[in-house]
Amino acid sequence: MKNAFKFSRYNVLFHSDGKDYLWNTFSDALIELTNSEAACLKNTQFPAPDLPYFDTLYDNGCIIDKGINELNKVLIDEKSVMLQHNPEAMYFTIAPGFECNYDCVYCFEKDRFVYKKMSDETIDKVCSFIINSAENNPMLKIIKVNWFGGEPLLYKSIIKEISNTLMGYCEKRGVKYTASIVTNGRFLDPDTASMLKKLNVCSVQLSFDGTKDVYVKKKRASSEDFDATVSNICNCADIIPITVRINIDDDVTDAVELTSFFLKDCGLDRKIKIYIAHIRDYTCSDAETEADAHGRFLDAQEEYMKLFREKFSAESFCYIPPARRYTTCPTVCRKNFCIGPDGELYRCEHFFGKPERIVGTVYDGLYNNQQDMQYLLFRHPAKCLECEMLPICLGGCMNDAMNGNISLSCNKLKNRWIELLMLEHTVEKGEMV
Amino acid sequence: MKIINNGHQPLEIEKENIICVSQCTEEPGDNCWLQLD
Repeated sequence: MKNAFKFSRYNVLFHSDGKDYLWNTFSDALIELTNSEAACLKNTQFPAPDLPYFDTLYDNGCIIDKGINELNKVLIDEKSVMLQHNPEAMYFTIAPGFECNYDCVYCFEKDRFVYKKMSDETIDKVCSFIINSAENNPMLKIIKVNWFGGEPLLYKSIIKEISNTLMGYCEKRGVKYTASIVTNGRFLDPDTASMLKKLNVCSVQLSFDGTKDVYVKKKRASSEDFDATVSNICNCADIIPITVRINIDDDVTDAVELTSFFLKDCGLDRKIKIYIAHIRDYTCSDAETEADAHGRFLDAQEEYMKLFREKFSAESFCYIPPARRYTTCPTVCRKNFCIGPDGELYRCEHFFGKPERIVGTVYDGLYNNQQDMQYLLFRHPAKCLECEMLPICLGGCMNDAMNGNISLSCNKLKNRWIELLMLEHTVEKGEMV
Repeated sequence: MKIINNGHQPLEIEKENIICVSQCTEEPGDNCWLQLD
Protein backbone atom coordinates (compact mmCIF):
# COMPACT_ATOMS: atom_id res chain seq x y z
CA MET A 1 0.00 0.00 0.00
CA LYS A 2 2.95 2.27 0.81
CA ASN A 3 3.81 3.05 -2.79
CA ALA A 4 0.40 2.56 -4.38
CA PHE A 5 0.05 6.28 -5.00
CA LYS A 6 2.13 9.10 -6.40
CA PHE A 7 1.87 12.84 -6.77
CA SER A 8 0.60 14.02 -10.13
CA ARG A 9 3.39 15.28 -12.38
CA TYR A 10 1.14 18.25 -13.14
CA ASN A 11 1.01 19.69 -9.63
CA VAL A 12 2.20 23.30 -9.51
CA LEU A 13 2.83 24.86 -6.09
CA PHE A 14 2.97 28.63 -6.15
CA HIS A 15 2.74 31.67 -3.94
CA SER A 16 0.51 34.63 -4.77
CA ASP A 17 -0.56 37.64 -2.69
CA GLY A 18 0.79 36.09 0.49
CA LYS A 19 -0.95 32.75 0.02
CA ASP A 20 0.14 29.31 -1.13
CA TYR A 21 -1.72 27.45 -3.83
CA LEU A 22 -1.67 24.01 -5.39
CA TRP A 23 -2.74 23.98 -9.04
CA ASN A 24 -3.07 20.83 -11.09
CA THR A 25 -2.81 21.66 -14.79
CA PHE A 26 -4.21 18.28 -15.80
CA SER A 27 -7.35 18.29 -13.64
CA ASP A 28 -7.78 22.09 -13.39
CA ALA A 29 -7.93 21.77 -9.58
CA LEU A 30 -6.94 24.90 -7.69
CA ILE A 31 -6.51 24.59 -3.93
CA GLU A 32 -5.54 27.25 -1.42
CA LEU A 33 -3.14 25.94 1.21
CA THR A 34 -2.04 27.08 4.63
CA ASN A 35 1.70 27.52 5.14
CA SER A 36 1.93 24.23 7.00
CA GLU A 37 -0.04 22.36 4.34
CA ALA A 38 2.25 23.73 1.63
CA ALA A 39 5.33 22.76 3.67
CA CYS A 40 3.93 19.29 4.28
CA LEU A 41 3.36 18.74 0.56
CA LYS A 42 6.83 20.01 -0.32
CA ASN A 43 8.40 17.61 2.19
CA THR A 44 6.44 14.52 1.21
CA GLN A 45 7.96 12.31 -1.43
CA PHE A 46 5.50 9.40 -1.52
CA PRO A 47 1.89 10.22 -0.63
CA ALA A 48 0.18 7.64 1.58
CA PRO A 49 -3.43 7.56 2.82
CA ASP A 50 -2.32 8.87 6.23
CA LEU A 51 -1.21 12.13 4.61
CA PRO A 52 -3.42 15.02 5.79
CA TYR A 53 -6.17 15.72 3.27
CA PHE A 54 -5.20 12.65 1.24
CA ASP A 55 -8.79 12.07 0.05
CA THR A 56 -9.21 15.68 -1.10
CA LEU A 57 -5.90 15.62 -2.96
CA TYR A 58 -6.81 12.28 -4.54
CA ASP A 59 -10.30 13.38 -5.59
CA ASN A 60 -8.80 16.45 -7.24
CA GLY A 61 -6.17 14.52 -9.20
CA CYS A 62 -3.20 15.90 -7.23
CA ILE A 63 -2.48 12.39 -5.97
CA ILE A 64 -3.06 9.55 -8.42
CA ASP A 65 -2.71 5.78 -8.60
CA LYS A 66 0.87 4.81 -9.23
CA GLY A 67 0.13 2.88 -12.42
CA ILE A 68 -1.37 5.84 -14.26
CA ASN A 69 0.68 7.64 -16.91
CA GLU A 70 -0.74 11.14 -17.19
CA LEU A 71 1.68 12.25 -19.90
CA ASN A 72 0.52 9.48 -22.20
CA LYS A 73 -3.09 10.43 -21.46
CA VAL A 74 -2.38 14.02 -22.51
CA LEU A 75 -0.74 12.85 -25.75
CA ILE A 76 -3.44 10.27 -26.54
CA ASP A 77 -6.23 12.80 -25.91
CA GLU A 78 -4.51 15.26 -28.22
CA LYS A 79 -4.24 12.81 -31.14
CA SER A 80 -7.75 11.54 -30.47
CA VAL A 81 -9.23 15.03 -30.70
CA MET A 82 -7.16 15.84 -33.78
CA LEU A 83 -8.48 12.76 -35.57
CA GLN A 84 -12.06 13.75 -34.75
CA HIS A 85 -13.68 10.39 -35.45
CA ASN A 86 -17.08 11.52 -34.22
CA PRO A 87 -16.83 15.20 -33.42
CA GLU A 88 -19.51 17.00 -31.47
CA ALA A 89 -18.28 20.30 -32.89
CA MET A 90 -16.97 21.38 -36.26
CA TYR A 91 -15.15 24.64 -36.88
CA PHE A 92 -14.59 26.48 -40.14
CA THR A 93 -12.77 29.73 -40.81
CA ILE A 94 -14.04 31.13 -44.09
CA ALA A 95 -12.48 33.89 -46.18
CA PRO A 96 -15.11 34.99 -48.74
CA GLY A 97 -12.45 37.12 -50.42
CA PHE A 98 -8.97 38.55 -49.87
CA GLU A 99 -9.69 42.19 -50.65
CA CYS A 100 -9.20 44.71 -47.87
CA ASN A 101 -9.90 48.41 -47.57
CA TYR A 102 -6.65 48.90 -45.64
CA ASP A 103 -3.03 48.12 -46.33
CA CYS A 104 -1.64 47.41 -42.85
CA VAL A 105 2.13 47.50 -42.66
CA TYR A 106 2.22 44.23 -40.70
CA CYS A 107 -0.37 42.27 -42.74
CA PHE A 108 0.73 38.65 -43.19
CA GLU A 109 -1.39 38.36 -46.34
CA LYS A 110 0.13 41.24 -48.27
CA ASP A 111 2.14 40.45 -51.39
CA ARG A 112 0.71 36.96 -51.28
CA PHE A 113 -2.30 37.02 -53.50
CA VAL A 114 -4.28 38.64 -56.22
CA TYR A 115 -7.55 39.90 -54.82
CA LYS A 116 -10.11 37.16 -55.10
CA LYS A 117 -13.79 36.87 -54.37
CA MET A 118 -15.69 33.64 -53.83
CA SER A 119 -17.73 32.73 -56.92
CA ASP A 120 -21.38 31.62 -56.80
CA GLU A 121 -20.31 28.10 -57.71
CA THR A 122 -17.76 28.01 -54.88
CA ILE A 123 -20.30 29.42 -52.41
CA ASP A 124 -22.59 26.46 -53.19
CA LYS A 125 -19.66 24.07 -52.96
CA VAL A 126 -18.54 25.47 -49.59
CA CYS A 127 -22.05 24.95 -48.22
CA SER A 128 -22.37 21.42 -49.57
CA PHE A 129 -18.86 20.54 -48.35
CA ILE A 130 -19.70 21.64 -44.80
CA ILE A 131 -23.14 20.01 -44.85
CA ASN A 132 -21.84 16.72 -46.27
CA SER A 133 -19.12 16.73 -43.66
CA ALA A 134 -21.72 17.36 -40.95
CA GLU A 135 -23.92 14.56 -42.31
CA ASN A 136 -21.09 12.10 -41.71
CA ASN A 137 -20.94 13.05 -38.04
CA PRO A 138 -23.87 11.58 -36.11
CA MET A 139 -22.68 13.03 -32.78
CA LEU A 140 -22.52 16.61 -34.07
CA LYS A 141 -23.99 19.26 -31.76
CA ILE A 142 -22.53 22.50 -33.06
CA ILE A 143 -21.09 24.07 -36.20
CA LYS A 144 -19.04 27.18 -35.73
CA VAL A 145 -17.90 29.54 -38.48
CA ASN A 146 -15.35 32.29 -38.13
CA TRP A 147 -15.52 34.94 -40.89
CA PHE A 148 -12.13 36.10 -42.01
CA GLY A 149 -10.55 37.94 -44.95
CA GLY A 150 -9.14 40.24 -46.34
CA GLU A 151 -11.87 42.32 -44.81
CA PRO A 152 -14.93 40.06 -44.58
CA LEU A 153 -17.43 42.93 -44.39
CA LEU A 154 -16.58 43.74 -48.00
CA TYR A 155 -18.43 40.51 -48.74
CA LYS A 156 -21.66 40.86 -46.78
CA SER A 157 -23.82 39.13 -49.40
CA ILE A 158 -21.58 36.05 -49.37
CA ILE A 159 -21.61 35.93 -45.57
CA LYS A 160 -25.39 36.18 -45.68
CA GLU A 161 -25.82 33.46 -48.27
CA ILE A 162 -23.55 30.89 -46.64
CA SER A 163 -24.88 31.70 -43.16
CA ASN A 164 -28.51 31.27 -44.21
CA THR A 165 -27.80 27.94 -45.89
CA LEU A 166 -25.88 26.60 -42.88
CA MET A 167 -28.41 27.96 -40.38
CA GLY A 168 -31.23 26.30 -42.34
CA TYR A 169 -29.37 22.98 -42.29
CA CYS A 170 -28.54 23.23 -38.59
CA GLU A 171 -32.10 24.08 -37.66
CA LYS A 172 -33.44 21.10 -39.61
CA ARG A 173 -30.81 18.81 -38.11
CA GLY A 174 -31.26 20.12 -34.55
CA VAL A 175 -27.64 21.29 -34.38
CA LYS A 176 -26.49 24.60 -32.91
CA TYR A 177 -24.94 27.13 -35.31
CA THR A 178 -22.77 29.97 -34.09
CA ALA A 179 -20.32 32.36 -35.74
CA SER A 180 -17.73 35.03 -35.09
CA ILE A 181 -16.00 37.56 -37.31
CA VAL A 182 -12.56 39.15 -37.48
CA THR A 183 -12.90 42.64 -38.97
CA ASN A 184 -11.27 46.05 -39.00
CA GLY A 185 -14.72 47.49 -38.24
CA ARG A 186 -14.72 50.20 -40.90
CA PHE A 187 -18.01 48.88 -42.33
CA LEU A 188 -19.58 47.73 -39.08
CA ASP A 189 -22.50 50.15 -39.05
CA PRO A 190 -25.61 49.40 -36.93
CA ASP A 191 -27.48 47.82 -39.86
CA THR A 192 -24.55 45.49 -40.50
CA ALA A 193 -24.28 44.64 -36.80
CA SER A 194 -28.00 43.78 -36.74
CA MET A 195 -27.57 41.66 -39.85
CA LEU A 196 -24.64 39.80 -38.29
CA LYS A 197 -26.63 39.21 -35.13
CA LYS A 198 -29.43 37.65 -37.15
CA LEU A 199 -26.80 35.43 -38.76
CA ASN A 200 -25.81 34.13 -35.29
CA VAL A 201 -22.52 36.03 -35.21
CA CYS A 202 -22.03 36.15 -31.46
CA SER A 203 -18.60 37.72 -31.33
CA VAL A 204 -16.91 40.52 -33.29
CA GLN A 205 -13.15 40.69 -32.98
CA LEU A 206 -12.17 44.14 -34.15
CA SER A 207 -8.49 44.76 -34.81
CA PHE A 208 -7.23 48.20 -33.85
CA ASP A 209 -3.71 49.51 -34.06
CA GLY A 210 -3.53 52.47 -31.74
CA THR A 211 -4.56 56.07 -31.23
CA LYS A 212 -5.33 58.14 -34.32
CA ASP A 213 -1.79 58.90 -35.50
CA VAL A 214 -0.57 55.36 -34.95
CA TYR A 215 -3.72 53.92 -36.53
CA VAL A 216 -3.39 56.05 -39.64
CA LYS A 217 0.28 55.16 -39.99
CA LYS A 218 0.00 51.42 -39.41
CA LYS A 219 -3.16 50.87 -41.40
CA ARG A 220 -2.15 53.37 -44.07
CA ALA A 221 -5.64 54.77 -43.54
CA SER A 222 -7.10 58.26 -43.18
CA SER A 223 -8.10 60.05 -39.99
CA GLU A 224 -11.71 59.81 -41.28
CA ASP A 225 -11.30 56.03 -41.25
CA PHE A 226 -10.27 56.20 -37.60
CA ASP A 227 -13.22 58.42 -36.65
CA ALA A 228 -15.72 56.30 -38.57
CA THR A 229 -14.49 53.07 -37.02
CA VAL A 230 -14.65 54.53 -33.52
CA SER A 231 -18.21 55.69 -34.26
CA ASN A 232 -19.08 52.21 -35.46
CA ILE A 233 -17.83 50.66 -32.23
CA CYS A 234 -19.81 53.16 -30.15
CA ASN A 235 -22.96 52.65 -32.22
CA CYS A 236 -22.80 48.86 -32.35
CA ALA A 237 -21.62 47.96 -28.84
CA ASP A 238 -25.19 47.55 -27.65
CA ILE A 239 -26.16 45.47 -30.66
CA ILE A 240 -23.44 42.83 -30.82
CA PRO A 241 -20.60 41.78 -28.47
CA ILE A 242 -17.40 43.53 -29.58
CA THR A 243 -13.89 42.70 -28.52
CA VAL A 244 -11.21 45.18 -29.52
CA ARG A 245 -7.84 43.59 -30.19
CA ILE A 246 -5.15 46.23 -29.85
CA ASN A 247 -2.16 45.26 -31.91
CA ILE A 248 1.13 46.32 -30.37
CA ASP A 249 4.83 45.75 -30.85
CA ASP A 250 6.32 46.01 -27.37
CA ASP A 251 5.32 49.45 -26.10
CA VAL A 252 2.08 49.66 -24.15
CA THR A 253 1.90 53.45 -23.79
CA ASP A 254 -0.25 53.96 -26.85
CA ALA A 255 -2.38 50.87 -26.07
CA VAL A 256 -3.16 52.23 -22.59
CA GLU A 257 -4.06 55.61 -24.10
CA LEU A 258 -6.34 53.93 -26.62
CA THR A 259 -7.93 51.77 -23.90
CA SER A 260 -8.63 54.90 -21.88
CA PHE A 261 -10.09 56.58 -24.96
CA PHE A 262 -12.53 53.71 -25.56
CA LEU A 263 -13.50 52.89 -21.98
CA LYS A 264 -13.56 56.39 -20.49
CA ASP A 265 -13.86 59.03 -23.25
CA CYS A 266 -16.24 56.96 -25.39
CA GLY A 267 -18.11 55.59 -22.35
CA LEU A 268 -17.65 51.97 -23.43
CA ASP A 269 -16.54 50.60 -20.07
CA ARG A 270 -18.28 47.25 -19.51
CA LYS A 271 -19.83 47.51 -22.99
CA ILE A 272 -16.87 46.16 -24.95
CA LYS A 273 -13.92 43.97 -24.10
CA ILE A 274 -10.30 44.80 -24.87
CA TYR A 275 -7.02 42.95 -25.02
CA ILE A 276 -3.61 43.53 -26.51
CA ALA A 277 -2.01 41.22 -29.02
CA HIS A 278 1.45 40.81 -30.37
CA ILE A 279 2.10 41.82 -33.96
CA ARG A 280 4.31 39.10 -35.26
CA ASP A 281 6.67 39.21 -38.15
CA TYR A 282 5.52 36.21 -40.16
CA THR A 283 8.38 36.67 -42.59
CA CYS A 284 10.89 36.13 -39.79
CA SER A 285 12.47 32.70 -39.91
CA ASP A 286 14.82 33.19 -36.99
CA ALA A 287 13.42 31.45 -33.90
CA GLU A 288 15.61 33.37 -31.48
CA THR A 289 14.59 36.77 -32.85
CA GLU A 290 10.93 35.70 -32.66
CA ALA A 291 11.37 34.40 -29.10
CA ASP A 292 12.97 37.69 -28.05
CA ALA A 293 10.10 39.65 -29.59
CA HIS A 294 7.59 37.39 -27.84
CA GLY A 295 9.39 37.88 -24.54
CA ARG A 296 9.25 41.66 -24.94
CA PHE A 297 5.55 41.41 -25.73
CA LEU A 298 4.93 39.37 -22.55
CA ASP A 299 6.71 42.07 -20.53
CA ALA A 300 4.54 44.69 -22.21
CA GLN A 301 1.43 42.61 -21.54
CA GLU A 302 2.33 42.39 -17.86
CA GLU A 303 2.61 46.16 -17.68
CA TYR A 304 -0.67 46.56 -19.58
CA MET A 305 -2.51 44.20 -17.21
CA LYS A 306 -1.14 46.10 -14.21
CA LEU A 307 -2.26 49.44 -15.61
CA PHE A 308 -5.61 47.96 -16.63
CA ARG A 309 -6.24 46.77 -13.07
CA GLU A 310 -5.46 50.23 -11.73
CA LYS A 311 -7.52 52.24 -14.18
CA PHE A 312 -10.36 50.18 -15.68
CA SER A 313 -13.05 47.62 -14.87
CA ALA A 314 -11.96 44.01 -14.83
CA GLU A 315 -15.13 43.17 -16.83
CA SER A 316 -13.71 45.05 -19.81
CA PHE A 317 -10.49 43.03 -19.89
CA CYS A 318 -10.65 40.10 -22.28
CA TYR A 319 -8.66 37.00 -21.43
CA ILE A 320 -8.92 33.25 -21.33
CA PRO A 321 -8.11 31.67 -17.97
CA PRO A 322 -5.64 28.82 -18.32
CA ALA A 323 -7.33 25.42 -18.38
CA ARG A 324 -6.71 21.92 -19.67
CA ARG A 325 -6.81 21.87 -23.46
CA TYR A 326 -6.82 19.04 -25.91
CA THR A 327 -5.36 20.54 -29.05
CA THR A 328 -3.43 23.72 -29.61
CA CYS A 329 -5.84 25.02 -32.22
CA PRO A 330 -9.17 23.85 -33.64
CA THR A 331 -8.01 24.07 -37.25
CA VAL A 332 -5.33 21.39 -36.87
CA CYS A 333 -8.17 18.91 -36.23
CA ARG A 334 -8.95 16.71 -39.18
CA LYS A 335 -12.52 17.85 -39.91
CA ASN A 336 -12.06 21.55 -39.24
CA PHE A 337 -10.73 23.80 -41.99
CA CYS A 338 -9.82 27.27 -43.10
CA ILE A 339 -11.55 27.78 -46.44
CA GLY A 340 -10.23 30.28 -48.99
CA PRO A 341 -12.16 32.13 -51.73
CA ASP A 342 -11.45 29.44 -54.33
CA GLY A 343 -12.63 26.75 -51.94
CA GLU A 344 -9.10 25.75 -51.04
CA LEU A 345 -8.57 24.18 -47.61
CA TYR A 346 -5.81 25.15 -45.16
CA ARG A 347 -4.84 24.27 -41.60
CA CYS A 348 -4.35 27.89 -40.49
CA GLU A 349 -5.79 31.24 -41.57
CA HIS A 350 -2.25 32.55 -41.73
CA PHE A 351 -1.68 30.26 -44.71
CA PHE A 352 -4.38 31.85 -46.86
CA GLY A 353 -2.99 32.49 -50.35
CA LYS A 354 -0.04 30.09 -49.94
CA PRO A 355 -0.50 27.29 -52.52
CA GLU A 356 2.09 25.08 -50.83
CA ARG A 357 -0.04 25.03 -47.67
CA ILE A 358 -3.23 23.77 -49.30
CA VAL A 359 -4.46 20.43 -47.90
CA GLY A 360 -7.48 19.96 -50.18
CA THR A 361 -10.42 21.82 -51.71
CA VAL A 362 -14.17 21.86 -51.21
CA TYR A 363 -14.37 20.39 -54.75
CA ASP A 364 -11.93 17.51 -54.30
CA GLY A 365 -11.98 16.96 -50.53
CA LEU A 366 -8.83 16.25 -48.54
CA TYR A 367 -5.62 15.45 -50.39
CA ASN A 368 -4.17 13.65 -47.35
CA ASN A 369 -0.88 15.17 -48.45
CA GLN A 370 2.29 15.52 -46.43
CA GLN A 371 1.38 19.09 -45.58
CA ASP A 372 -1.62 17.72 -43.69
CA MET A 373 0.04 14.60 -42.28
CA GLN A 374 2.72 16.63 -40.53
CA TYR A 375 0.21 17.62 -37.83
CA LEU A 376 -0.71 14.04 -36.98
CA LEU A 377 2.93 12.99 -37.08
CA PHE A 378 4.09 15.90 -34.95
CA ARG A 379 5.95 14.96 -31.75
CA HIS A 380 6.41 17.41 -28.95
CA PRO A 381 10.01 18.27 -28.10
CA ALA A 382 11.48 16.88 -24.86
CA LYS A 383 11.29 20.30 -23.26
CA CYS A 384 7.49 20.24 -23.56
CA LEU A 385 7.10 16.60 -22.56
CA GLU A 386 8.87 17.36 -19.29
CA CYS A 387 6.92 20.53 -18.56
CA GLU A 388 4.29 20.66 -15.80
CA MET A 389 2.29 23.12 -17.94
CA LEU A 390 1.92 20.76 -20.91
CA PRO A 391 -1.83 20.06 -20.33
CA ILE A 392 -2.69 23.75 -20.66
CA CYS A 393 -0.11 24.66 -23.31
CA LEU A 394 0.60 21.64 -25.52
CA GLY A 395 3.58 23.56 -26.83
CA GLY A 396 1.54 26.46 -28.19
CA CYS A 397 0.90 26.93 -31.90
CA MET A 398 1.80 23.69 -33.65
CA ASN A 399 2.98 25.54 -36.76
CA ASP A 400 5.40 27.54 -34.62
CA ALA A 401 6.59 24.38 -32.92
CA MET A 402 7.21 22.72 -36.28
CA ASN A 403 9.17 25.78 -37.38
CA GLY A 404 11.39 25.49 -34.33
CA ASN A 405 9.92 28.54 -32.56
CA ILE A 406 9.35 26.57 -29.39
CA SER A 407 11.57 28.76 -27.26
CA LEU A 408 8.70 31.24 -26.91
CA SER A 409 9.64 32.62 -23.48
CA CYS A 410 8.26 29.67 -21.52
CA ASN A 411 9.11 30.94 -18.04
CA LYS A 412 7.38 34.24 -18.69
CA LEU A 413 4.37 32.39 -20.06
CA LYS A 414 4.14 30.23 -16.93
CA ASN A 415 4.04 33.32 -14.74
CA ARG A 416 1.42 34.87 -17.02
CA TRP A 417 -0.81 31.82 -16.69
CA ILE A 418 -0.58 31.90 -12.92
CA GLU A 419 -1.46 35.59 -13.03
CA LEU A 420 -4.49 34.93 -15.26
CA LEU A 421 -5.53 32.00 -13.09
CA MET A 422 -5.54 34.23 -10.03
CA LEU A 423 -7.35 36.96 -11.95
CA GLU A 424 -10.08 34.43 -12.74
CA HIS A 425 -10.40 33.62 -9.06
CA THR A 426 -10.17 37.07 -7.53
CA VAL A 427 -13.87 36.88 -6.83
CA GLU A 428 -14.12 35.19 -3.45
CA LYS A 429 -15.35 31.67 -3.98
CA GLY A 430 -14.61 28.13 -3.01
CA GLU A 431 -15.38 25.91 -0.07
CA MET A 432 -13.41 25.10 3.04
CA VAL A 433 -12.63 21.44 3.68
CA MET B 1 -7.13 23.74 2.63
CA LYS B 2 -9.70 25.47 0.49
CA ILE B 3 -10.92 24.19 -2.87
CA ILE B 4 -11.07 27.13 -5.28
CA ASN B 5 -11.72 24.99 -8.33
CA ASN B 6 -12.60 21.30 -8.35
CA GLY B 7 -10.42 18.82 -10.19
CA HIS B 8 -10.86 15.15 -10.98
CA GLN B 9 -8.97 11.91 -11.33
CA PRO B 10 -7.07 11.48 -14.65
CA LEU B 11 -9.43 8.84 -16.03
CA GLU B 12 -12.63 10.71 -15.32
CA ILE B 13 -12.57 13.07 -18.29
CA GLU B 14 -15.41 12.52 -20.71
CA LYS B 15 -14.32 12.78 -24.30
CA GLU B 16 -17.61 14.48 -25.23
CA ASN B 17 -16.50 17.60 -23.43
CA ILE B 18 -13.16 17.73 -25.11
CA ILE B 19 -13.61 19.43 -28.44
CA CYS B 20 -15.38 22.52 -27.18
CA VAL B 21 -12.30 23.60 -25.27
CA SER B 22 -9.94 23.31 -28.21
CA GLN B 23 -9.21 26.92 -28.82
CA CYS B 24 -6.38 29.21 -29.57
CA THR B 25 -5.51 30.93 -26.28
CA GLU B 26 -3.74 33.69 -28.14
CA GLU B 27 -7.06 35.04 -29.39
CA PRO B 28 -9.33 35.47 -26.39
CA GLY B 29 -11.72 37.59 -28.44
CA ASP B 30 -12.90 34.52 -30.23
CA ASN B 31 -14.62 33.24 -27.13
CA CYS B 32 -17.91 31.86 -28.38
CA TRP B 33 -16.13 28.64 -29.15
CA LEU B 34 -16.45 27.98 -25.44
CA GLN B 35 -20.18 28.47 -25.30
CA LEU B 36 -21.21 24.94 -26.07
CA ASP B 37 -23.73 23.89 -23.40
